Amino acid sequence: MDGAALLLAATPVPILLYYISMYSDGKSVSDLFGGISAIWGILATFFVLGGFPGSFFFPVMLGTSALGGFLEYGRSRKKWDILQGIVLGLALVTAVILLEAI
Amino acid sequence: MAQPRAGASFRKRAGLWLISYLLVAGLYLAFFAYPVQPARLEGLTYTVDEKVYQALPYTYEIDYVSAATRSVVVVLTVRTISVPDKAYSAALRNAEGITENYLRQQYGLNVDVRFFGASTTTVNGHQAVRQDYNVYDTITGPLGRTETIIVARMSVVAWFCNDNLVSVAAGFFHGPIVDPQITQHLRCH
Repeated sequence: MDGAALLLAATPVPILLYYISMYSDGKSVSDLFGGISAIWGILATFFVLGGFPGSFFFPVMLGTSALGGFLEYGRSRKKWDILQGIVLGLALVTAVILLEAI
Repeated sequence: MAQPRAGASFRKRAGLWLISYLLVAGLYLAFFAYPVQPARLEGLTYTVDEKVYQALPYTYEIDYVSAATRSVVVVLTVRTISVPDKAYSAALRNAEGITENYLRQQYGLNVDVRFFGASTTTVNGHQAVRQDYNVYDTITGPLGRTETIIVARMSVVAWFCNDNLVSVAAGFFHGPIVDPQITQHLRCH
């Protein structure tokens, strides 16, 4: 494995640290799912290096974070959380459509 | 996303979120600028000329020229994340215009490059997108009759090398009779 692979695997680490910090403060489901999404981002690099198709990378990341927003909204009823779910859900749909349409 | 919560103030959340994503952007920038191990042709006798084509995304170009077979192979290795085959197909379709312009500007040749067909092939164990083109020229014969004939063929292939995180695009330009079977000799690094 070369430095490029390490750099790519490291890209979600700041996000993971952010969500760990936020989760330790507020114990919110959306922060938990954000952290899971970042862990997936780190693991996905190694899956791609092993031959796994890279097209799963962003959809799974976006989907996990969107799900976190919807689940948190179910608990908190705060508009920020449903907004997170909707925005990331739309980003997911757009990413899938773009991947199909290219 | 930044949002107000009891546990963390909005200002703290927004600040940390911004710093995190700036770091992510920096890491992506470093990834795309990271030098590649260039893809190469192996086992063929060519004159080789190589250079760094651009720094971001890091792209390395190797040109192989064979005077004996009158063929040219250009291999570009580009630092990318995994890219779907459809994106490679769309990018390769630009080869037609790029080649026509290049031949007109460099050699004054008023040739017509026409798409012939697309397929998939295997290169060094990777599935690659392949497109073939015919290069036509209009010539005037001894009796004054003009004819459009195939003067060269061009094939372009592109694929993702997952083991070193690069995309490779190779174009081979050769006479209409010669078929150098380039794909068997291409290696990811």
